[in-house]
Amino acid sequence: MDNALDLHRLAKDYGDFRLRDVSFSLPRGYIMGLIGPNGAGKTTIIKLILNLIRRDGGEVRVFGMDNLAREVEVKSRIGFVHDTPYFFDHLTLLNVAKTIAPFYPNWDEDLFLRLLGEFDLPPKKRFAKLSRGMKMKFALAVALSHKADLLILDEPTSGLDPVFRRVLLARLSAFIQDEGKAVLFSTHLTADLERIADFITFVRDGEIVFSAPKDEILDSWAVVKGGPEILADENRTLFKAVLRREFNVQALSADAGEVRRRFGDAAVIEKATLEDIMFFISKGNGHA
Amino acid sequence: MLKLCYKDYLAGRWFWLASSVLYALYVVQPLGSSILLMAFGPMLVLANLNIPLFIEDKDKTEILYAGLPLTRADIVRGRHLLAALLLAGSGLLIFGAGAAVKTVFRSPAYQAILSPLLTVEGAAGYLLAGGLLYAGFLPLYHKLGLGRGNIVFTLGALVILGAAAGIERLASQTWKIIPPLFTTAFLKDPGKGIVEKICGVRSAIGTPLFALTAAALVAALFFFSIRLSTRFYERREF
Repeated sequence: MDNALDLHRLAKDYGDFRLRDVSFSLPRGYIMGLIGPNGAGKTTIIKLILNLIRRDGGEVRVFGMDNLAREVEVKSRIGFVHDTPYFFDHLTLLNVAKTIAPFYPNWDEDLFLRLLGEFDLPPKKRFAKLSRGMKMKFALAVALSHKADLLILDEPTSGLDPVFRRVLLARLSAFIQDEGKAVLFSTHLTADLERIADFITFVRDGEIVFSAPKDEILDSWAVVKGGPEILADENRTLFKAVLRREFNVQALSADAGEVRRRFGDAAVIEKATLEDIMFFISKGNGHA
Repeated sequence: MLKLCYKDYLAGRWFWLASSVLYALYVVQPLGSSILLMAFGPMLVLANLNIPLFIEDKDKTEILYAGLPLTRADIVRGRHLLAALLLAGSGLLIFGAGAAVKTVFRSPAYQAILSPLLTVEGAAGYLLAGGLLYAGFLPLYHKLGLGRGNIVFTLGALVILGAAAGIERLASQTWKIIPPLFTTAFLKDPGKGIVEKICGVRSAIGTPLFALTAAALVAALFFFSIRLSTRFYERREF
């Protein structure tokens, strides 16, 4: 069966920023977290998938279909939530839905009304009167109501209260129970991804640092804390990034087993969280 | 494409109603010359198209609709269909209000100004002028966006009008190859003058061919505008 999403050597050149050779796959039935610092290229990747910007190279396939050659079919299977939801401000939520529903053959009005109730959104309230969190909930309700097969969410949890964040994560988990569906989820809140993501793709400076199963990443990456001696020449290739503190050195390694074997009790070795990995790779020196 | 028009209808209906009421109130006031009526007709046509485009620009919803199951060409065609519907709707309002005013206010001044405009030639002139406005504006809008598109369109229109006046002056007074077009009588009542010239064309080629030619010209303008706008809009990035 085709993957929900395949990106192959995707490229985009803005002049002052380049997305280079971005390739990853998201199988059906899984949630992928797209992480990276601000300006890394996460939103650019999402916009390229949706053909909101023109690509300069590479290929995007959604359920096996080229996203340009079969644009309408592809988009009808995608539910998209932008990081800032834009809808007509002066319309009520019901009327906003009326401007969108006709474009989706699978729009489920009953489900939409049920979601409005579940998310505490008053149907007759104007969109402009909603708080940022409520706007995001509404965008999610819209994305879920046309029975998309692939949900693409750009920073959906920013601005949401912790209670609704949990509701959303539960809903996403339920969404992929139908194994034909998948979720691509871009966020800075890596704790959310540690809860629900199956795959993590890390983007930095327009390039993919890694794209792998989350459990594999969390098992194999480690933070090593110790004196400057841990940066001895023979250990250099072991570290992906290093932070030098006043009294110690912290280093990130993608080979936790080898780190444990080499340093044993001579250094403090901790499992790296996604936030650690993002922080070290963004802020640390490349190699020791 | 009708779905896109429906979306614009939901977003713009109250503003269209307001512009229609304002226009109707404007027509009722005593008019000194048909030029005022003729100037406000195209302004109404352009304003009505700008209403949904302005709302879309203000609320930044272009990115939302570009993400729906539509191609850029679909969106461009939808906007041209909306333009055609607005041209028809504004025409109904302009000619309906004109006819109502002519019937209710029986003053000779109204009769003199409105009589030449409320004719087949007047309608053909309106459709051609509206088609020309849209065909000029929409490609610029799709290339430059709402703000810059409107500025360039307005400046471009002024330059073209200025150039036309200059050429007319050169051709009629310096080279003396055509009779003067912008005579004092013409400028006093341009509506009547323009309609008389259209009448001349109609008499020369006959009514069926005239109607066919007018329709073909409007269709050609829209076709040209759709092609150009699609080319521009497909390059637009959000």
